[in-house]
Amino acid sequence: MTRRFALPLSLLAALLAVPRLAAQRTAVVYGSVRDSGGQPLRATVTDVATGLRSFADNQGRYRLSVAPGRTVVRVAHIGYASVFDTLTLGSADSVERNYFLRPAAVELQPHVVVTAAKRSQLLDQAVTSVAVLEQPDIARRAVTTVDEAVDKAPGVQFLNGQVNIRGSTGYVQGLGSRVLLLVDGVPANQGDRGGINWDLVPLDRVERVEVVKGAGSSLYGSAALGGVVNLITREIPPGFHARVRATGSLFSNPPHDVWRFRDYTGAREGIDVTGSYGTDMFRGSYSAGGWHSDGYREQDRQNHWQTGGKGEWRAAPGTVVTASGSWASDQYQVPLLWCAGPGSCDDRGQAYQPFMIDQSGRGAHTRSDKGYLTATLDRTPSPRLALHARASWLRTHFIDFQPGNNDFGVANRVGAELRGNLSPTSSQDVTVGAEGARSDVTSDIFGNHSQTELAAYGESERGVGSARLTAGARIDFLAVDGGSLTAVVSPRVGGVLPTARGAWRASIGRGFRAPSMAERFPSLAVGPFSVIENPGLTPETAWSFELGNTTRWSGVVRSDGALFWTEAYDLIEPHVDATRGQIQFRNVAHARLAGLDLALDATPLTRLTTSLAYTFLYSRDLALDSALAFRPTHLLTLAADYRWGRFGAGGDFRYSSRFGRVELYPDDPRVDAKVLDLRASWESGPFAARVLLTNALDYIYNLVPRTLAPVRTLSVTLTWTY
Amino acid sequence: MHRTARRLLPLALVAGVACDKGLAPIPGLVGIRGTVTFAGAEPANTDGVFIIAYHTFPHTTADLYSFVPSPPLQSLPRPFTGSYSYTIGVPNGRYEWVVAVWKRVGLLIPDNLEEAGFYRDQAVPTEPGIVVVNGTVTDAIDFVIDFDNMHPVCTYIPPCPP
Repeated sequence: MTRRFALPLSLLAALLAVPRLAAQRTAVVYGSVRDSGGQPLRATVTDVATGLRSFADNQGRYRLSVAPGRTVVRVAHIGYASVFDTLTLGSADSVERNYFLRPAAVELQPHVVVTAAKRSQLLDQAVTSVAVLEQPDIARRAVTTVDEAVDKAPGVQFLNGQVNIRGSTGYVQGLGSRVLLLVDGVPANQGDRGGINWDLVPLDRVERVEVVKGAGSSLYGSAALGGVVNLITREIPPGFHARVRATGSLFSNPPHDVWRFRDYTGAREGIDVTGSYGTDMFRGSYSAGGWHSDGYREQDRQNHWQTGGKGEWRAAPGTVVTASGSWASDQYQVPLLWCAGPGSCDDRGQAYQPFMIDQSGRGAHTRSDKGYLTATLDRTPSPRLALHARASWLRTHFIDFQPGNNDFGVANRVGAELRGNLSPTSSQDVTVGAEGARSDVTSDIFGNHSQTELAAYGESERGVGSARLTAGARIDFLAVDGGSLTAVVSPRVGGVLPTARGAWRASIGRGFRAPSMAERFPSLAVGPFSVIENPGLTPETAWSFELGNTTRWSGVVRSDGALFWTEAYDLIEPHVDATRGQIQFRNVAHARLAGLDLALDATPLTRLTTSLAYTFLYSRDLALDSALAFRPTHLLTLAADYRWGRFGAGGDFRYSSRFGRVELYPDDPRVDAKVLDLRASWESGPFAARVLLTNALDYIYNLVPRTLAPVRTLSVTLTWTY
Repeated sequence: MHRTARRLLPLALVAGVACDKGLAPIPGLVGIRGTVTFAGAEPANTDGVFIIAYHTFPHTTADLYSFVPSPPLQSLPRPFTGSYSYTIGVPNGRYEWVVAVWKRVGLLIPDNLEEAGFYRDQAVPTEPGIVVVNGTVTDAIDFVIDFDNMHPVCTYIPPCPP
């Protein structure tokens, strides 16, 4: 056995050893969580040592299994001060603990995150910026899809489904995301196009979203060039639980008669059903649902079906085997570009018709199926060692039906990872792991190809005085179609220094993104141009630097600010060769993205929570000496929520400045984006009703070329929880 | 509650700032309108005939693709006989060359394109006429499309193949 395989195999051996601890009895903590007025809270009760959680039900009741001995339990709910409770329990003990939480602004951000360092750590100790959306926050917003939930996070902006973190990706029509999507830590970017299917996981299954900003390739490898979004699905509580959620929406009609395109009001309706059952040893959940939408513009109908499940076997205290999967199917019309110019639609004498489509795209529609299966094994043999193994399979299948031409693609991505988190001393944490993945595609426009990725990584965090310093690196080996290996090294160093003026953090790291197979091997026609392959594409890379500070001011205000600077090289962009009538993806751009990210959370009144997030972005294509396309200079989000007993009301306002540069149609009129969302909610026992009015001002705008952003939409969501 | 209202005032102010409604209808077309008169016989391998405009006369192959309106373009309708009243939507500005481009079946490459006619200066008919668009349709941009007297791209952007 060679030395290079020793670490992964020893990790595997440790993971597969069936623990004798399985025979040991566990202890149980149970009780209720309420606010100071006696209202039950669906709080999270966490065993701090193992990270195992229980979620209180709608009566505020919870039940948490813990290992015998000394246990620290954290009880948390967004908008309330957490409670830490230290218990000493004997084997098979059963102890009732009832908790009351006080409202507090400083708890608007949760304490523990898992994505920034591939292990649990306090948010204030992460060396890079992390934005967190907790389930109550997602529920309060009454949104229905994952991308809607992530869209308002500080520094995050979606462009027609393509996520940007501090302007990372711009808009490249879904190809080659520079943000990595994880589902419970498992990479989930498409195997062929490298993009993200945001409907892969039903929002109802999502417990928390963590958005890590800046290059994250030192732990996550390809695609984590601009950041990482981790969807963490719900834990399964003990006992039987069920949830039914029904949503109905109405789309506003065009604000001007000359833009009317149909004689009825468009609607969207959907339902989700989730059931779960858990014992101390086995837990399982299953969900299914679907929705239909008429769309808010011409040729915009969509049907969506989804199902998913998760099973857990708690083989012993500190040992959890999890299997989960999800499958979603969408059939949607493709609105393509809005109509502009005479004769391209019923223009009614207008220069453009934003609700109508160009007749060249009439009849286009797509069927998109996607799903994943994941199995993980987590073992915590001691407080100083945690082991993790996983295997995953992601599959996507699309068929584009276009007038006179259909395209298809089937892609698979199979991956595996072994990881160990060690704490050799009380002031040091070490993360080491190995990861492998193989992607393949069969498509009439991308051909038949495969890509293999093998990687090893390690990162150590050590306390030095009051500071914590982090250093690590990852090496990735990439091979396309079994060819020669390309190696990419991604180091990162950083540190956190707590001071009287808050916690300061600084980091510098390298990110990269391997070209997707869709960028390497396209063979299709786009209008009069042919898109040709470029097997010689190399990974695009970036160095990201960040200096940040988190401070709590007077107990009711919390601020987080960061200066960031990213220098990106060999960015992959489409290159038009006019002489040959060809488009080819090439490593052409050298870009700079720098700016300021600022977030403020405050509770000026007991029942009022407010937040402000602002991002200033300087972006420059240094090769062309021009602004980067599709990046706003200013991105501002304001939010306020007022809670009064069972009732709540609030709103978000998002301002995105007019893009300095766009591609394809630079002469089109374009405006700042100003979007106001209003919401109200009522909860009583197992029932909850939420009303959401998105784009309440019915502001008409587009972020990507000739694609109308969503208009005013009124949604009502009714939820019953058992 | 008054304190609450006061503290929510900034949000209301911000919302007030957003009271414009974003994009609005642009009544009437901004562009170029005229009549083209066809002459000669349509070549057998015709893919289409397109009317486009250039802010500045193209001097390089790259310039050749800096035209408006932006793709996708629509060909003038068949049959290419008699005369046809055309309209193209283009942004405000000054255009040095309004030209009809004949395209052979195949890729959009210079070898498959030929100039089939252009709007001419009224005083010096051998030279292209200047067209100015300013918030409305500039009318009467009339010219002849002559299939028997077309000029390949290399006529304007040499060299021509031997």
